[in-house]
Amino acid sequence: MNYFVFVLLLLFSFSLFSQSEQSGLNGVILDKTFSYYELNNTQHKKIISFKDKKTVAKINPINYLAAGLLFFYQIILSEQIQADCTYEISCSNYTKWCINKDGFIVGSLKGLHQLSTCFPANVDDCPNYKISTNLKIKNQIDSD
Amino acid sequence: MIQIKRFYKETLCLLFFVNLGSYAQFNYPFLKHLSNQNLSQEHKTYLQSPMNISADSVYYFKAKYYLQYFNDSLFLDNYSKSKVLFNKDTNAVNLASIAFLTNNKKDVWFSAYSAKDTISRISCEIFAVYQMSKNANISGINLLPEKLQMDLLDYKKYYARKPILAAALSTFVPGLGEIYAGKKRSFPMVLLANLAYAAQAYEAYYKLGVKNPFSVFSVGFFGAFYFANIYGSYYDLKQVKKEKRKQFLIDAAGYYNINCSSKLYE
Repeated sequence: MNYFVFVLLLLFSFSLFSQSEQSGLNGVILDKTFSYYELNNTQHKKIISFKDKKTVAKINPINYLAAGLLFFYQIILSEQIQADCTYEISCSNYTKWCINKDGFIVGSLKGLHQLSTCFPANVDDCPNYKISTNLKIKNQIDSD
Repeated sequence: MIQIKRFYKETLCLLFFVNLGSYAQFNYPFLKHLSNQNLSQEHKTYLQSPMNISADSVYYFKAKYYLQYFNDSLFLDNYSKSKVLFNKDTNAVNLASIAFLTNNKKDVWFSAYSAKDTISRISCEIFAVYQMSKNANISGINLLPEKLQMDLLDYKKYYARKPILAAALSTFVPGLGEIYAGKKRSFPMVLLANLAYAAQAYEAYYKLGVKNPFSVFSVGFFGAFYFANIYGSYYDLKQVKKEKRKQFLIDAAGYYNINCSSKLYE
């Protein structure tokens, strides 16, 4: 048990200290030099909020369990395994978005399905307009 | 003498009242220049400047302005107020139909305007494209050019497929519904993943028993992916139908953009 707690604290500390490199003058110079080449694919890593949801969703503990697991995965695990998704909205963000929109069951099924079809060869199955400039599949849902 | 005076009086009165009812006109060559040079601010200012011009003309030219610098709501608003005049401009109608093929308000445009209002062949074809995108089974494929007929046949292939059948196929063989939905490359990965999780769940259940937490977790893990595969096949086929429809409309818009005159003022 002690060993498990120690490993958990170690993993947590990686996320705390990993962003301190670019904080000085060097960081400002590097940002200005390379900002032109940055891709605008910063993904949101906030926990799901149930403020605007119905009472049933607010008191359902499974929703909070899912939100906590996804938050833990995005903050700690995904940075360790350097996860790179084939889709523009990553599988974890897509699952969060679907759980927010469609509820826990349908949202999880959609997220798990995207996870099981998340590999580079899948890009060839999509029409041209669904492939972005950095060769990722656009997975926003169209209105029509 | 009195009769001559009366004649002049009457003529003067007639000219006075005729003058009241007559309107000025927009400077068409100037509008053409503003449109061709893409001077949108100057174009807008000219259209909004107060002039004694009939309302029909004002809305007609405004509709053309909002067609060129595409703003669907304002275009539709001005079109509805100058419908008779606008429908006589075949080129503008064609360009509007092409623009609305890939727009969210296509239903509004194609219900406001009917191909019966014009005898242009291209207008009829574009209207047929819109109707076939809503129902791929209607007849009239020969109305379309050859390139679009191929796109329509591709769309028609997926239009007839049922999402429930995709879900049913995935129930028996995980991933088979993906092939039915047209995503052939997803089949091996989905099948392998489900087989691996099933093998893991079976081994855990066989060796550790039903009540062991790890076997419960393994069976739950496999179950989640299995049901996700079934729901995913159902959902994927619905998405693929939308994608094929959108691709058909994009290809049609691209084809007619190349083969139609793009000038609003000729």
